[in-house]
Amino acid sequence: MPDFEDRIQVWRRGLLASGVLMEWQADELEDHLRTALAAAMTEEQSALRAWRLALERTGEFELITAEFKKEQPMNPMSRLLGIALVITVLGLLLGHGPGGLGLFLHLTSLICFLALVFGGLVASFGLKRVGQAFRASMLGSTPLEIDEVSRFVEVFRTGQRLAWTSGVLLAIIGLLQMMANLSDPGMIGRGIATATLSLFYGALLAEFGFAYARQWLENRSCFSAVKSGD
Amino acid sequence: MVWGSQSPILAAMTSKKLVAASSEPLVLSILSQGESYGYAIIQRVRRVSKDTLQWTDGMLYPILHRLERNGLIVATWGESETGRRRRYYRITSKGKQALSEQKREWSSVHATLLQVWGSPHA
Repeated sequence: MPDFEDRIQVWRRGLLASGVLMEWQADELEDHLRTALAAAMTEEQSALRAWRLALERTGEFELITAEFKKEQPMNPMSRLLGIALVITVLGLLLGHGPGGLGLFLHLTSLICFLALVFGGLVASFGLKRVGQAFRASMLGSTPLEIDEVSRFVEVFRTGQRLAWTSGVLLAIIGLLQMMANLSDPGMIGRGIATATLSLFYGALLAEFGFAYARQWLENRSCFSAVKSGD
Repeated sequence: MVWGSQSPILAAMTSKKLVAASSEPLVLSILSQGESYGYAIIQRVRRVSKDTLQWTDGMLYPILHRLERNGLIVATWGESETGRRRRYYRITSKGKQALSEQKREWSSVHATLLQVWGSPHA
């Protein structure tokens, strides 16, 4: 049997480099690769083809580490740290400059925007499922079955789309209303600002709300070790 | 990639979700027949399913480790035929209980489907 020791060690180092797998897990997978290689040697005439077959069956290290990562619950502290960082930077950016945070708060637009997004969500999935999706995303870290994750991920995917759409829709409505009243030049600037704010709310909720919630949920998916598509 | 060359059409027909859902009872069922290790479990699934269930071998381990964390199986280090360290898995009484429950659920689904498919209105 040709010496595959170097290749096996490179593969093993790849497994460990991610920091996801522990030594004993790499030992176990290495044993698997060696057994698969020995079996492949009896099936294939070329040693190189046997190696490729064994590697293909066992899985490239990137694929395996990705699967192991999914099994590791996210550290709640790292999530909080990330959220705090995003909120701080956004707060600093928005608070800096004339008008401060108040510049970005237009109560009527915000209420209309939230009503459109959450109304759309409830209309699509029902209040119960929307509530369950939010609870599953925000609370708990134990792995969820793939079916459950798919059901809830759909809620956030739709939420993300609705947030963008509602933002654009409100902006268009605001601009149209402003254009209908061009006789008052003082209203033009305010109208444009209000319309732009709706877009801002849409971007914020879609990419810093629903996208995060969806990802947190996907992190809890406990099984994707299947190769076939459906 | 499909294991071996058999039944590619059947393999394509076995949906990802169905294979995912059956992974846990499959592993528990194999271990209920005796102690085993990752590679042997994969080979067993491959033979029994006639290649219709497609897993990348290395991805079985996160499932095994989860079952172990949940107390459904236990693992011990032993030695392979070549003298290398190998991890052997064994089902626990909690695992046997879980398997009985899963068998009941799957049998119920299976029986219902057979009933519907067997009926003249199906």
